[in-house]
Amino acid sequence: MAKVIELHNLVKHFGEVHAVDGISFVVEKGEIFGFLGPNGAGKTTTIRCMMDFIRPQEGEIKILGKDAQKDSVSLKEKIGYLSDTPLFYGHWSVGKHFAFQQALRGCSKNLSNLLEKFDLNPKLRFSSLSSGNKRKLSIILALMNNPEILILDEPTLALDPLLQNAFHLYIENFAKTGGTVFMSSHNLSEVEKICDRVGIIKDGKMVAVEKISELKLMKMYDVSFHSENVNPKIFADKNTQIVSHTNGIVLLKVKGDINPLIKKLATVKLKDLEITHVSLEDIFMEFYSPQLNAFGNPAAENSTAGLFNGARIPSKQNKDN
Amino acid sequence: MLKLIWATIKERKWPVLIYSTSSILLLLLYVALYPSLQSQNQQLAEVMKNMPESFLKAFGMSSSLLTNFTLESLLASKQFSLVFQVLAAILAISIAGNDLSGEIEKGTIEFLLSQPISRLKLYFARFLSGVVLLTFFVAVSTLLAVPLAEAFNVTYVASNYYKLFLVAELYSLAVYSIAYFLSALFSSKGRVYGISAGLITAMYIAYLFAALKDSLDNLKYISFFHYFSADVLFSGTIDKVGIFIFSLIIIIGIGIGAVIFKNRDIATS
Repeated sequence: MAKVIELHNLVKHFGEVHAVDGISFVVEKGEIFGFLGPNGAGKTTTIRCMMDFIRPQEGEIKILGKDAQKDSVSLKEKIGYLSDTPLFYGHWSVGKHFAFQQALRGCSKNLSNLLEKFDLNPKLRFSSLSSGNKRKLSIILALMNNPEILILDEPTLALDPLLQNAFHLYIENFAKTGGTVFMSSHNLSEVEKICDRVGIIKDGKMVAVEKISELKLMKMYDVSFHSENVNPKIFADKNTQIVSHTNGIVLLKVKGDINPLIKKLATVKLKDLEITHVSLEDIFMEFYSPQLNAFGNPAAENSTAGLFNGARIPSKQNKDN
Repeated sequence: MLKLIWATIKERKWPVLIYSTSSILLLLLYVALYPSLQSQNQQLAEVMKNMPESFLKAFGMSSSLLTNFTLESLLASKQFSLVFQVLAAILAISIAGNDLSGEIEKGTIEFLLSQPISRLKLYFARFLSGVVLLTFFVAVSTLLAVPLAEAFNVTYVASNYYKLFLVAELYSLAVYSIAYFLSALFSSKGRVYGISAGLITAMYIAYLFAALKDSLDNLKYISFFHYFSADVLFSGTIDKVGIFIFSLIIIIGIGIGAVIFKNRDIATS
């Protein structure tokens, strides 16, 4: 697979705030890459560096093998960009925005198709649009000039479920025909549904870059069993937490090696037993939550939980802690 | 680039048309009133003889303007002693503020920067559109006096208006360049307006002090109002130092602004 987007050791600090702190990843051709993280984690800063709106202090960004800063103009001919906040000219009509972009990028071949698909009236003034329609305008502007790469910052924010679905289908088809998509999102179900891989950023650092299918295989389990006269406290340890215990039915969450728990369960007379992998949302929460781990309980000190807490100043943070 | 310049001109046309109309109406007023004012010239000259020369100079007048009362001397003392300078400065600052920092403040700069155009192209396209708009304003505010004088059968010296146009254009562009440089530097147009207007006001105050007090005479050299005085219209003499200073400021302001805009982080909040 050809590398379409390459980030190597990207660093962007705003004064003492380490917005992006040495991140690296690669997005390959035909891939839909989800970029996850809470507010302030560094997603938008990374995207703005990729779009050459802001300049990193260190590191390198290559898109289609070209330098994102030096070859910015030629690259933008091939990139469809969607900002997290759709800010356009209030007194312009929707159609005037399309005309302006076509004057700079050439005539769009799929504009009428996109207008129909996303049901947007080009005669409306931008200032009169609802937040959903503003988002539709952003999406159409990103898609209308036949880009090779889509860089999308929270693309489906404010879209209703029907339009989200239409957008997902369009993106999946775009990737199938050789297009590459890099999208940031807070919407985990969206990421799970359409992305091939995800990068998870926390405090400006990449904490994971995984295939969705591999994330699902992370060793985290929901264990449910039914047993009379059992004290569930015997199962609790650093990897196993008791979620509930009612009428002999015990729910446990396990992280890591499940064999020690299986050995303990073998000593108990069971009426029923079920072991399943936890949901993808629980896995993401393991990275996200500052205080709670996947079990909804306080994170262990040595756990990877509690990773997401926005950009911060490492040295200061340590002192504060 | 031409498409971008044209789009910007269309976008910014209304304030320029309004300012130009105001300026034309003022010109029309003075040209139309000139014949009747000429008949009262002697009385006015008597009144002004009693005023201190430095006071008259501070407000762009001198008793010699009335002893040789022409359309040029009338316009020099009324339209081009302060009114035009203020109108041109306000227009130049307002165009510059909207050009770059206004786009950053509104967040629309991302839409522009996501297009396949370089920052320098955007920078110079916006600057050139501002030059076209200001040139239109300056041209109608100065050169239109010639056909108006023709229409009202008033005697005039055409070459003085061409010289006035040149100096007025350079003055306007110098103010625009300072404001445009600030627009490249800041992300808030309020700061551009505030600092630019503050500078122009400070220059005017310096000019007034220099005119009113002999010991502060050297202050005039830091003021645009010294280099663009109404004398050019009255005497037909261009201040070459003024031309040089204005040209230098335009080149330096635009050059430094380009370097800043090319290299700075441009992020909307």
